[in-house]
Order: sequence, then C-alpha cells, then structure tokens
Amino acid sequence: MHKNITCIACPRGCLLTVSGEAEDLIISGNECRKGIEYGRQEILEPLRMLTTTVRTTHPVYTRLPVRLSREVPLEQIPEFMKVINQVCVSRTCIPGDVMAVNLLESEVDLIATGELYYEKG
Amino acid sequence: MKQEYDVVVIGAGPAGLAAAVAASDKGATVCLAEREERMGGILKQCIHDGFGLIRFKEKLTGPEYAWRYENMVKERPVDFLSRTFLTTMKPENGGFDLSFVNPEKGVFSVYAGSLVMAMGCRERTDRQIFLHGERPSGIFTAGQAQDFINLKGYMPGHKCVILGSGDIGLIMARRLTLEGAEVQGVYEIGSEPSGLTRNIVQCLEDYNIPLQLETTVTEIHGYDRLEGVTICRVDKNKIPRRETAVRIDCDCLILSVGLIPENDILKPLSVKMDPVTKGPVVDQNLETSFPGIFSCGNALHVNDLVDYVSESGHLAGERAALYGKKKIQVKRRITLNTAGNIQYAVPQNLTLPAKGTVPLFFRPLRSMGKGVAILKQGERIILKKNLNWLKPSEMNRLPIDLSLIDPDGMTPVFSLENREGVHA
Ligand SMILES: Cc1cc2nc3c(=O)[nH]c(=O)nc-3n(C[C@H](O)[C@H](O)[C@H](O)COP(=O)(O)OP(=O)(O)OC[C@H]3O[C@@H](n4cnc5c(N)ncnc54)[C@H](O)[C@@H]3O)c2cc1C
Ligand code: SF4
Repeated sequence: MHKNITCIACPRGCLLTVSGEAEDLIISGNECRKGIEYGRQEILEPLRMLTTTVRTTHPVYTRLPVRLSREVPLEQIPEFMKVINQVCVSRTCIPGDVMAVNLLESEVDLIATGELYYEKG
Repeated sequence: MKQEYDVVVIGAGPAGLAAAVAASDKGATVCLAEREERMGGILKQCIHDGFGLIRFKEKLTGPEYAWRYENMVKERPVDFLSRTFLTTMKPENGGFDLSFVNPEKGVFSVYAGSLVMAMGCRERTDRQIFLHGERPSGIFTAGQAQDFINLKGYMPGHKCVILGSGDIGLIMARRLTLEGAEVQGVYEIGSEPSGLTRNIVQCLEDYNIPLQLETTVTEIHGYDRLEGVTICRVDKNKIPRRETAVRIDCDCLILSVGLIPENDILKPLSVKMDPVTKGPVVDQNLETSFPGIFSCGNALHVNDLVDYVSESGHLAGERAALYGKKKIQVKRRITLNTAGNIQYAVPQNLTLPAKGTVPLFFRPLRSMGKGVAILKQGERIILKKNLNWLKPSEMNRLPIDLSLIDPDGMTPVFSLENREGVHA
C-alpha cells in the first residue's frame, strides 16, 4: 500500500506518505510525532463527527440541529444519515438532550445541539 | 418617553452577545437589538462542530456555542429587543438617538450613551464578482444555502457546483453531499484554497469531491432555472483562457467568494474605514473614529474563529460601558503602522497613554514558513516573536503590553519578516 494524506493535526499541513501494511505502517513526510499518530489512525480507521438536522413538528422551527455522542468511522456516515433522517422531534429540548439512543446498535446516541420550545397543552 | 440606556448593542450574534454580557457586568444598563427573532446570529445555521476550542476548551457546534452565550445574556438584566432593526443613528447630547423598527412598536427611538456595532458580515454575491449571463433561479451564496438546508429544511438543488473555496463553501459541499445532492466540484480562481486545510480534507477529500484551482465560472446557462455553467482555467493574471472552457450541467451554483463586514449604517457619520478590512478603523478599545461608537466581531473584520469574535465583543462591551462613565482619558490617538508581509492588523490606532495587555489581530499577505513578528517604536523593540506556518486564511493573535509604548514617542510599526536565512 502507498498513500498520500495531509496531516491536519496542526496548521502546518504536512503531506504524509504512508506505506507498508496494517501491522507495520511506515509514515514519512511528518515534521513531528503527532503526524505519525494521525497518519496511523487515518489509514486504519478514520473517525469523524457527524452533525446534521432532523425534522420537527414545530410550526416555526422545522429543523433541529443534532450531532452524534461520539466520532464514528467515516465509512459508516451514510448509514447513520439514513437512520437519523427517520427521526422527527415533537417535544421541548435543549442542547445536550438525547433524542435517540443506540443508533445502528453501535451504542452511539443522537444529541440535540439546538433548543426547541413547545407551549404546553 | 424615550428609553435610555448606557450601552446599546446592535446585533445578537456571538460578538453582540459577548458585548452585552461584558457591558452589563461593568454596571451599564444595556439594550441588545437584533433584527431576527432569535439570538445567535450566523451561528444558528453553522451546525458543524469546531467552535469554542479556545473559549470553552471544547469542540462545540455553532448552535451550542451560541446557546451558552444566550444563557449568559438571559442571566443578566439586559433588555433584548428581537425582530428589531436599526435604521438610523444620530449624535445627540454626547450620546446617540437611535431609530428602530419592529413589528410590535413600529418605528421608535432609543437613546444610547454609547454604541456597540456587532452587525456581522454579509456575503459577496454574483454581481460583485461579475458573473455574466442570465439570472435564473438556482444561484445562492453559501450562507443562503446553509440557511435553507439547516434552518428551513429545503434543498437548494440536486446537482451543485461550488465557486470559491472559502470555508463555508467547503462545509456546504459536505452538507449537500450528506443530504443526497451531487456536488460536481469546487472551483477556485486562486492558486491556493482559501479555506482551512482541515476543511479541504474533511469536507472534500472524505467525499471525493474534486477541487480545481486556477479555475472559475465564466458563464451561467438557463433562463428560469439554472441548467449549467461554463468553467474556464485562468492564467497568472486571473484572466480566463477561453480555449479551456467546459460546460458543466448543474441546477445549483453556490458562491463562496468572501465576506464583507456590514457597516453601511456608519456611512452618514463619516466613520473612518479601513480599505483592507472593510471595517472601521479602531483603537485598542475597539472604539471607532467617532467617539462612543465601538465595533467588534465580523463587523470589524472578518474572523475565522468565533472565539476571537467573542473576545472582541467582550472588549468592546466593556469599553463601551466605561465610555459612559468617562473613564477613558484620551491623550493622543496614533496610527499603528504595518510593514513587510502584513495584509492588515487590528487595532489600526492606539490611544495613549494606556496600560494593560490587548490582543493584536493580523493576517499575513502571503503564506510564510518561518516568520518573525516585530513591534517597534523607533529603534526600540516592544515585542518580537517567532511564528511558523502563517497563512492568509488563518488569523493570528499576539498580546501587546501597552504600557511599553511611549505616548510621546514615534509611530509604532508592526512588521512580519522572514527569519534570517530561511525563505518561505
Ligand atoms: C454563512 C456564514 C458561515 C460561517 N461559518 C463559520 C464557521 O463555520 N466557523 C466559524 O468560526 N465562523 C464562521 N463564520 C464566521 C462567523 O460569522 C463568525 O464566527 C461569527 O459568527 C461572527 O459573529 P458576529 O457576532 O460578528 O456576526 P453574526 O453572527 O453575523 O451576527 C450579527 C447579527 O447582527 C444582526 N444585525 C445585522 N444588522 C442589524 C441591524 N441593522 N439591526 C439589528 N440587527 C442587525 C444580524 O441579524 C445577526 O444576528 C461564518 C460566517 C457566515 C456569514
Ligand atoms: S506532522 Fe506535525 S507538524 Fe506536520 S502537520 Fe502534522 S502535527 Fe503539524
């Protein structure tokens, strides 16, 4: 394997060259040690935060912004989008509230990042 | 009777929220006026994360960051006027007579001892970058597209082309892809992307969206709805090379071609503006050339970190509160000159004598590997710092100790040079 990736662990943005196999990756082009760690993670399993919105039944604010409770593998993002798009909110919530649990049986929850207020009754 | 306040803050984005909190904490009576219904400004639609690493030591999304400040405002005796638009302002009795309009009260006026302008910025549009052709629907600024998708839940299009590689455009490329649209590519006229490397990697490379540099859109096709655009490579002088023209089919063109501070309201008062930042010229208290008018956040200069926006809001709010109490004694307002690889530095002026440490924000003109920033007054070095990997897209912050500046001395000069023997 031979791959070029840009390190984003600091603003310098070194162009890393990763070669070798999973067990002993050879990383070069890094100006500091952080680049090795970053390159290894990026090659073995790149992790990303997913932020998106869900539908609401609110008459004015029709979307609620949400995020996952932790970073997930990049390749699973489309699957997470599919299940999140099924969620519809119809209650008052504030940032940090759990809106859905254990998405894709992965122990990752869906967290509200915005506020939504419904009048009672 | 006309309501009176020590400090009136215009705009409830992160800059205005911080200003209202700081002014209130200094004992001023504060009014915060916002044209939209909710507080938070542009952060309400910036649902991605990466905000607040400096201010809260956490990676927050835009709405989460705004919410924290919103709560701080609500905990204080600040009068919040929502859906209230500032239309004119006139100097009156050492303060200002402000004319507002809102749906409840219609047109009404408020007296302000001092003013904090925190109106944010607006996006450059297709007219400002001279795109030719028809004006079909389907052309949006990145911020409009962000508003449609994230707040209203509408898709601006299904086959999109993004012009300009600013951060908001990159973030929208990812957002559109996640929502099922096909992003054909991002085209940038410059030879370097204008967005952060992190966004190039996580918004474009992650989703295999091509980025083409030294390329621009030269023509728009379609009459009612956008049907396609013509893209062209450009030469060194950014002139399109017609022989490279290619037509790309799309129903949506998104412009991410820069932000301009919002300051039209200051024009009638002849407030001195900086031609580079497009914001007002301010001193270390963020006071403009018009006594009693302070500026912060993106209205002052376009920031790339919201943490710095809050910092400037805090400073402006605090100083605006002191202005009412006449605690700022002006002796001499001097220019802070710049030299070398500096695009701009804020503050542009210093009011002396002064104590304390204030942040100096600057952007380099060109990327630089190893640089040295020097603040000098005559031959005397006030600050010298080595800085690495500077880019025009990333704003830098240096604290300066004002007590080291001689109020009767020469004009201070702030410069950024290459470190000896090393070339960028
Ligand atoms: C579309 C867009 C996306 C962005 N994305 C990011 C990002 O991802 N990360 C980041 O760090 N920065 C981002 N920025 C930069 C961002 O603007 C700043 O980080 C920060 O939000 C600026 O805060 P502000 O308070 O100066 O302005 P804003 O948040 O724009 O707030 C200004 C407020 O003033 C109000 N206002 C304006 N004129 C009047 C008037 N006459 N009367 C009453 N109210 C008025 C507006 O309604 C608005 O609420 C983005 C900017 C834009 C335009
Ligand atoms: S390798 Fe080190 S210096 Fe290079 S970009 Fe990564 S963190 Fe920065």
